[in-house]
Amino acid sequence: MTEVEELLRETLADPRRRLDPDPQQYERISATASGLRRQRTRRRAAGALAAVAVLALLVTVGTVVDRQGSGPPPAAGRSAVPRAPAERIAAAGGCLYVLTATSLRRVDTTMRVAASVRLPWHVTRNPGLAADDSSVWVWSTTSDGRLALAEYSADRLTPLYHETVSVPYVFSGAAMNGVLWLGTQHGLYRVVPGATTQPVSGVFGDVFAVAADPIRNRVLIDQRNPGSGGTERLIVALDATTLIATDGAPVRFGKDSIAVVGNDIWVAGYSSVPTSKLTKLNTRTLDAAGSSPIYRKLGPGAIVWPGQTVLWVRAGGNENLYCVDPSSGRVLQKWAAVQGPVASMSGVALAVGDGTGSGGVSRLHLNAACTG
Amino acid sequence: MNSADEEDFRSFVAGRSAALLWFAHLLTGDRADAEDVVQTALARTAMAWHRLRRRDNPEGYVRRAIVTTHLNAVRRRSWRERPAAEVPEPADPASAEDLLDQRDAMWQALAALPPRQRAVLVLRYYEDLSEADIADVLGCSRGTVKSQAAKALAHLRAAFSTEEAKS
Repeated sequence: MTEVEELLRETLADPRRRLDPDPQQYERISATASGLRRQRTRRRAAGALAAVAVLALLVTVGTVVDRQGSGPPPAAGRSAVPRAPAERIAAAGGCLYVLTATSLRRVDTTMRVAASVRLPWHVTRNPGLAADDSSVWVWSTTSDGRLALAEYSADRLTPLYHETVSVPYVFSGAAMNGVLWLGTQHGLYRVVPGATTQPVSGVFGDVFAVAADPIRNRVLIDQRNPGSGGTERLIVALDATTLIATDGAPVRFGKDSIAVVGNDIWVAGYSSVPTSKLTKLNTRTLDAAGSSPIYRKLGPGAIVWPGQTVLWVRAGGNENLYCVDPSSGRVLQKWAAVQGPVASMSGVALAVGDGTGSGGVSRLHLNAACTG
Repeated sequence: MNSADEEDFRSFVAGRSAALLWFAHLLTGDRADAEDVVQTALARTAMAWHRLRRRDNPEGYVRRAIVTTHLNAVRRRSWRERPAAEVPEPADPASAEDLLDQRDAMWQALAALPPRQRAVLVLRYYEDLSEADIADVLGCSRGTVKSQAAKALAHLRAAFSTEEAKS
C-alpha cells in the first residue's frame, strides 16, 4: 500500500470528520417516512381500481405488521439498560460510570444506580470521562473552545474540583492517582486539582491515545514519530511522577488506542499492515510482542478499550465488537455492530450505542468465557 | 410500524446514527448533505423495518441506501456540479510534517473527485469492502470499480506526488 493510500485511510478515519446527530433526528426521520408512505399510498391508489383495493391493501399490511410484531427480538443480543442517552462510560474501582449530557451516574454490578450527580454544565461537545479508584473526571469543550472539567469522588460522586482551562482539542484522557492526563491536538496535558494545567514537556503534536498503567505508575501515550514522515507513531511510557519517558517503540498506525488490562498492554489503530491493526506490546519495552487471530477481520483498523479482565476490540468498518482474552488474544465472544465505547467489570459490560452522545447505553450479555 | 418495531427502530437510530452520519460525511464531504442523505435513507429503512430487523445486518441495508440515495441526488442535481479541473494543491511542504494538515489536504483532494470515484474509495478504504461487494453496492461491474478506483487514486497521487517523491 502506498503512502497516499495510507493517508487516505487515516483521513477517512479521522475523528474530526465525525458528526453529532441532531437530537430531533428521529422525529425528522419519522416525518420523512410518513411523507414517503403517503407518496407510496397515493401511487398505489392511483394504480389501483378503487378505494376497495386500497382498503384491502391496508388490511393486508395491518395483518403482516401484527404477525411480525410477535416475532423474536433482533439478533444483537443486547438489552437497553438504561435507556437514557449517554455520552461516555467508564469503569474503575468495582463500579461503572455513565455520563449523560446533564448528569454523572455510578452503576453497580446489579445495574442499580448507586449514586448520581447533576453536572454544572451541559456536556455536549467532545465529552470525556475517566475514572480511577478514588475519583471520576468529566470534561467537554465549551462554546468558546475552552475545556470545562470537573472531578468527583468515586464513591458518592461528591464534587471535588471544577475548572475551565485552555487546552487544545482533546482526543482522549485517563485518570490515575488523582491526576487527569489529556491527549490533545498539541501534546499531553496533566491536570492536577489546584495547580496550573500545563503541557508535559517533550511531547509534541497530536496525542490520540492515553492510557493509565497504575501497576507500573506509568502513563502510556502515542505520539508522532518525527523520523517516519507521518507513517509511524511512537508508543511512549511516561513515569507518572517524574514525567520522564521510560520506554518507547514505533508502531505503524494512523490513529491509535491503548488498553492496559492488568499486566497486558494492547494497542490498536488504522494501518495498512494487517498484523499491526491490533498488537500486544511487551510490557517493559513496549515493542510488539504478538497479535490476535482476529486481525484479519478488523477491516481498516480497530479500537481497543480495557475491561477489568478482558480486552474489548471494535473492528473498523463493520464495527463488530470482540471480547478478547488479553493474555492470548483469543476471541471469547463477538457482537455485530457495537460502536462503543465499552466498559466492563465483574461479569457486567456496558456499551454506548455511538461514540458521540446520541445513543443509549446497552448492556452486553456476556457468556461464561467473557468475564468482563 | 407496530410499537415493538418502532421501539426497536428508535434504538437502532439512537445507536447507529452517528456512525451512519460519519459514513455519509465521508461520501458527501458536506455536513448538510450527509444529514439529508442519512435522513432519507433511514426514513426508507423505517418503512421496511419490520422485515429488515430480522436480518443479521440491517445496517448494511442502510449503508447501501445511503450510497444510492447520495449518488441519485448527485445525478439529479448534476447541473449544479462543478467538477474540479485540477486537484487541489498538496499540503505546504513547510507543514507537511503535520499529519493533521496532510489529512486536511487529503480531505480537499477527496472533495474534488467525482462522487462515484469518491464512493469507491470510501467503500474500499473505510468500509474495507471487496471489489465484488463495491460493485454490488454501486450496481456496476467489478471492472468499473477497478477503473474508478485507479482513476481516483491517480488524482490523489498527483496531488501528493511531491510528498511521495520526497519519501
